[in-house]
Amino acid sequence: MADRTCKGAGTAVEDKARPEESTLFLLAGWAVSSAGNLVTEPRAYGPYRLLQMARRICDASEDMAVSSRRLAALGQRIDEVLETWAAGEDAFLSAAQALVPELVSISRSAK
Amino acid sequence: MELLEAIRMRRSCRRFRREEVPATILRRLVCEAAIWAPTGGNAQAWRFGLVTDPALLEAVTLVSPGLPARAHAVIVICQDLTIARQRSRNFGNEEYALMDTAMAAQNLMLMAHSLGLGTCAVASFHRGGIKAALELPETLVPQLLVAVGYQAATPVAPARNTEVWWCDRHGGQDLQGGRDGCGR
Repeated sequence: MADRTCKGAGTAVEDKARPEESTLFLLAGWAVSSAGNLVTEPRAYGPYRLLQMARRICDASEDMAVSSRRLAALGQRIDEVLETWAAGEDAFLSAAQALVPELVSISRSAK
Repeated sequence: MELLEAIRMRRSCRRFRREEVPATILRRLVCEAAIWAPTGGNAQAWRFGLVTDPALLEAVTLVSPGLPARAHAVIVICQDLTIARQRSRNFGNEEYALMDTAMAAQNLMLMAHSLGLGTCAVASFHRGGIKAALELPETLVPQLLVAVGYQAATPVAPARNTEVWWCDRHGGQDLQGGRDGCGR
């Protein structure tokens, strides 16, 4: 039988001493809250929250000193897509879909 | 700032600069603007939590998917439904209290805008999570969060639906022949 114990888990005191852990916990917790809330929220909030999550990861990369030009570029494009929400749900959903093929060129840009 | 200008230029801000909002300003938003909103049955059963402590902000953010990242202050608008019911009987149900909350929020957001601050009203949060994070007593119900900070950018205004009114009976026009549209 597979051993399912979490061998990597440190104590709360050890974890708290690391700012990266705090950043990651906030990201993970926010995703959990989003999942819970999305059950009763409009459908388009799903992709919106996922893009917000991606944006928060880009922000977190700065906090964790692992930022890069492509993460910054992705963050900027995500902001532009999120702003299309003001033009209506259809505009946002189509902008969100259009961002996907752009990932290839963004990914190939300088790290 | 003219009132109409504040109404038209206020935006929901979802990205803030890394700049703290002084607690004195937050108190002014509540004491000089929010509490002057009307309430059903004059209940005034609202309570405003000013959250600026980083650890508490983190806890609030954790359970509030709608809250913008990096908000440096959050005003948690609660209603004490026990007081609301005592003071205004059937006006004190949660539906009416929610209207009171909304009107208070608009007041404080307009004042914040006039002071050069950005705000974002957030209804997407977990009520039990907020109660736990802020150790709210059982009688206080959090109804709306307002993130407050200095805007990183000015968001674009969504187009307005202007076909919104009629005069007298449904579908009627006014004496100048106008009907439905605000743009004409």
